[in-house]
Amino acid sequence: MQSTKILCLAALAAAFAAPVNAALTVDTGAPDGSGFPLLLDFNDWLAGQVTFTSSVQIDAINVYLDDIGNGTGTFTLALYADDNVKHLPENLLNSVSATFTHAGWNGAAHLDWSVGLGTYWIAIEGQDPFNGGFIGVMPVGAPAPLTHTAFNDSSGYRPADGLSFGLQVDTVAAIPEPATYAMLLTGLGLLGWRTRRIGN
Amino acid sequence: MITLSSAPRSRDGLALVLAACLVLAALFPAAARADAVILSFSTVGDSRQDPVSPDATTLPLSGQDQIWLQNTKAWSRIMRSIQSQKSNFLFFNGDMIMGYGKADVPADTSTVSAIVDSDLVQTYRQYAFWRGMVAPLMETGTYVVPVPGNHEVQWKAGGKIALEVNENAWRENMGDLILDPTRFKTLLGAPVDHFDVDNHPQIGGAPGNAADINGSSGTDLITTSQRQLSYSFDFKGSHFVIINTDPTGNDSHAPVNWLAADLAAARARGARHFFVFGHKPAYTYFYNDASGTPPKDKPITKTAGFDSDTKNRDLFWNLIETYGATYFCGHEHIFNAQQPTKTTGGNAWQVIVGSGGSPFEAAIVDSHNAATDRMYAWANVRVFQSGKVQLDAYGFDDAYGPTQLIKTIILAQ
Repeated sequence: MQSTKILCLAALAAAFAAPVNAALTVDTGAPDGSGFPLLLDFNDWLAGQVTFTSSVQIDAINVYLDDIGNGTGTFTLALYADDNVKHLPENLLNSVSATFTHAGWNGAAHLDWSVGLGTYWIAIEGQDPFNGGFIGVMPVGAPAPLTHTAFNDSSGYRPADGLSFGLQVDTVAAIPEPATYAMLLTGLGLLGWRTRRIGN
Repeated sequence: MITLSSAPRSRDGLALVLAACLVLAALFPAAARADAVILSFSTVGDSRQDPVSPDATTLPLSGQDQIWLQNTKAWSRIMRSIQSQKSNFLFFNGDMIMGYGKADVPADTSTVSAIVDSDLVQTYRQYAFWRGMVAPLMETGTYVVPVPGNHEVQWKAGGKIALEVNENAWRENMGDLILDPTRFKTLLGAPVDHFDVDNHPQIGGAPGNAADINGSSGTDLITTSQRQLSYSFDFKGSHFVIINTDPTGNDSHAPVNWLAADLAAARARGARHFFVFGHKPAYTYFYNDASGTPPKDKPITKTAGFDSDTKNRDLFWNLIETYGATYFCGHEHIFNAQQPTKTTGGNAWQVIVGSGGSPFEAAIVDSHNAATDRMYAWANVRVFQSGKVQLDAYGFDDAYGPTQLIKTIILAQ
């Protein structure tokens, strides 16, 4: 009986205390600027397809930007489902506003976006320049570019494979939802109850 | 006593404030502060479609473009980006319509269709469609400044010569934009400076090409009113000049005498930057001709601009160099930026942005051409508080792929 209690407590402690290590799941590397940079503004958006082989939480997204002299400004990082037919961004799942601060990697962290195993799109979208939206470019020539990329010129996302812009996605192993913990506790409780009955 | 004792304290306080200012200035040098953009403009030309020989990549033409003769897809997309880039102005360097007719009273007025099909109605209809397309820009902070092109003022059937009736049609369809001080101020938040609708090349001069800025005539062989065809204005320390490169009676020429006087007056009143817009180039861009037999890297040799008269071209370019100006033009349906006299010490740029949707000059099959030769492209220029002037050219390919930054030029530091 005592051993069952210890086992339950250890399991719970392990579940809650498991170290959360972010991993760079997607990393194209920094572009070398070997081609014409891609325009990013309110009218010109870009997206890249990413695949997650297990359930994860997206912790941070960074994109490689240059400001062409306009200074700071905000842009949107968005997560879309893949439409599974045309393989383009479809339903918007999550989005966050980020701020350009310097030429190089810019983005947002502590996103905690839970995604299941599957294929998704990360989009980089311009915001209204009349309200501080960023106008700049995404340099190209990343050493490990995404296979599938797309762009949107205000007429919807269209395929444009081979856009070698820079993208990094940090993920952590999926942290169970409260309901999952409730199920775990219920299961452990049942195990304990059963063990006690057998013991009696 | 109070006065005597407070004075030193006051001086001490002042010294303290000054010292603090010096420390702050040292910590945050002016150069490190953001260099604000004080004005920006975009420029492009040649959006008209060609009903006879459209670019193969634009086929099939939509029913709309077959009637109103625009490359709506390319041109509207360029405008969306210009709108998104918050340009103060859009200088459109001519050939916004197919035109090329004789916008005169129709010879045949016996039927409705005869009237509707007349050059007059066709010209006005094409103007109206283009005006409708650019109208949203004028509602979102971008003032549209039109530049006349040969398709607006010339009559093709008559041997590609400019006609006064076509110049009149230009004024009828564009005159309200050139310039509307009230609308200008509403859009840009500041008044237009030194715009005088009567400041244009004046009628006069002997027949032939006698244009000579140092000569006694001081004329540009003008035979018709150039009111609202060639004009100029100032805005926030920059001087903008629009020239009609096909005036009636002196086609394919720049009005160099008027331009010389106009630029001198602008400099005298303190203008710091000079931008000149016309339709035809001063220096033809000799892209590769794909029509010949292989190898297909034979450059075209026929001049497209007013370099057909090298005297006029040289007088014009000397002005551009003297004032450190930049010349933006179209006519050739292509993007090209060049410093024509760089080898002899020149610094000024000619930027051809005749890439607003008209059939490309360079053929699709010629791989010897630059990648940008078949891009729908435009230029965006920003003038910074520091005096720096930066040009960024953007474009997308004939498959309507993503927009790319294809050229950056620092025009002034």
